[in-house]
Amino acid sequence: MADDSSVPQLVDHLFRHQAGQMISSLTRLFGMENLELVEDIVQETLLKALQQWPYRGIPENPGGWLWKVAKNHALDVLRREAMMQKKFSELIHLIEAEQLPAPTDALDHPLGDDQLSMMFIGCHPSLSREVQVALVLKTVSGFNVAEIARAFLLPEATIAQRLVRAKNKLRAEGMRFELPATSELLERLDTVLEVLYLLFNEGYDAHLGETLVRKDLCFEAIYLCRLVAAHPIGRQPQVHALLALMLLQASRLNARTDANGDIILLAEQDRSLWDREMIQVGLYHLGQSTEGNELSKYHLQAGIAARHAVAESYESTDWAGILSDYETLLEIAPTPIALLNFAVAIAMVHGSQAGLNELSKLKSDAALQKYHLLHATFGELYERSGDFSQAAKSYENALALTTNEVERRFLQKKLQSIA
Amino acid sequence: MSQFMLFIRGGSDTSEHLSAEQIQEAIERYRAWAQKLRAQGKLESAEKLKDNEGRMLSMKNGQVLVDGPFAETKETIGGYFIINAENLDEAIEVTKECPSLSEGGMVELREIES
Repeated sequence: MADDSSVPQLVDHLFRHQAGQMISSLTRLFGMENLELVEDIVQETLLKALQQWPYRGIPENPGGWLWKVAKNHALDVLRREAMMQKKFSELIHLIEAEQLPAPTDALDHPLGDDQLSMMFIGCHPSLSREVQVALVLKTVSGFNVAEIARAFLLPEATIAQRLVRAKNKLRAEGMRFELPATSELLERLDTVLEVLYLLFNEGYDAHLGETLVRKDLCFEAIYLCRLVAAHPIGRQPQVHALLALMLLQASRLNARTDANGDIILLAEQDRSLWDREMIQVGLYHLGQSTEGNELSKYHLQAGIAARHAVAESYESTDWAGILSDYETLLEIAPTPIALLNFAVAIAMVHGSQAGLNELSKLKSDAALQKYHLLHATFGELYERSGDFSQAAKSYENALALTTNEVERRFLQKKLQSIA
Repeated sequence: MSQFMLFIRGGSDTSEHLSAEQIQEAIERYRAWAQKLRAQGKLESAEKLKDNEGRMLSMKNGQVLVDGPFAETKETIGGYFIINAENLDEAIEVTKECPSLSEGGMVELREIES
């Protein structure tokens, strides 16, 4: 009888991540114009495992097994097509001569050049942000169309179309599979970070739908960012800052909703549910991010998240520090959310009335007027100042503007509690 | 203790729409099932049969005919497990948990004559 520990098991998401690695490595060989062919080879490889492993058990080195099968599939395809494309006959020699470096098996491996190249291609500036996200999920993360569609609450056909158009575009532009020139590298890296943070927020701002899938997006964004941070090209302060930010925010995932999926605000969260280990890793990366002089928006946001993460309670949080972080953040990236949180920080430091005065300045902004969170924040600060009738009015305004069921329930509860 | 053979027909759903994650989950279900049986000493052996290479031999007018290969169908045996069980009832219980059932496969259960 086999001892449990000696039976090979699969690391979580191994197939997904192996798929991403194999797609990247094979695309380097086959070229971007054959991306779909490569995706087929990888899919066939994974299915081969599904046909064999149930009987034979999981091999000692699953990643090595998959890569070997993928190479053999690739050779079959190449031999079949070699007549048509001269390039392919050269590839056959390369693969047969074992000149291909195998993707590594461990989850914590540093990102290979191939995967980073794939990520840079997915985040190419000629593609729209939504297409970039879908393409990275498909090629680097090994999600399939149905999973991407579920994550973004869109029909599968929409995602499939986006991907086809993206591939056509990249093909039409004769995209080469290579890392961007050094002169472009940092700029392109910024796009990669934007895409990763968008991916994270898609998961973090759980709207409707399956919470599980969405948490998965958060962890996928963190996984990819860790890979980038471990690559020599990605070892940049802002990469560590984003990684710190995502980890510190994700550490609160379990405390943000109750058993019914209802929202629990930061002030009311059970802090013992925060993931301490994740906070430690987040703080570590925040430390790493301070090398160099750069102060990105991720640095400031991570700094704010860190002040929350180490605070014993909402009241004892270093609000003065947070206020000053928001002041700097607003100079770099004055997003609506940052403006609202700035007002909340003012309220915590200088009192609710001061916070309300700050919020009132935003009322003239037409776009913000339609933003339900502006009204929800007004409600919160009026409530704290004891003005329940104004608070109720604001919550009702917010209620009229939100389309999100969870937020609706939250606002209705608020209204009931002050009625 | 008797031995039983489980013929897996149309075993795994090899639909190309399965995602990497779903494929891993399916493999995980088999692993968990096999590990449980192995821990109880109930799993004797298992083998996968090669796809699309089967031949059917028969004799006609004193001549051996070799037919095939045949295209894979839902009835094709994809592989087999040999298990140990006290009796048919126990073998049925074990087989009920075979993951290929939940993937649209059929399992033929036969006792091996001892």
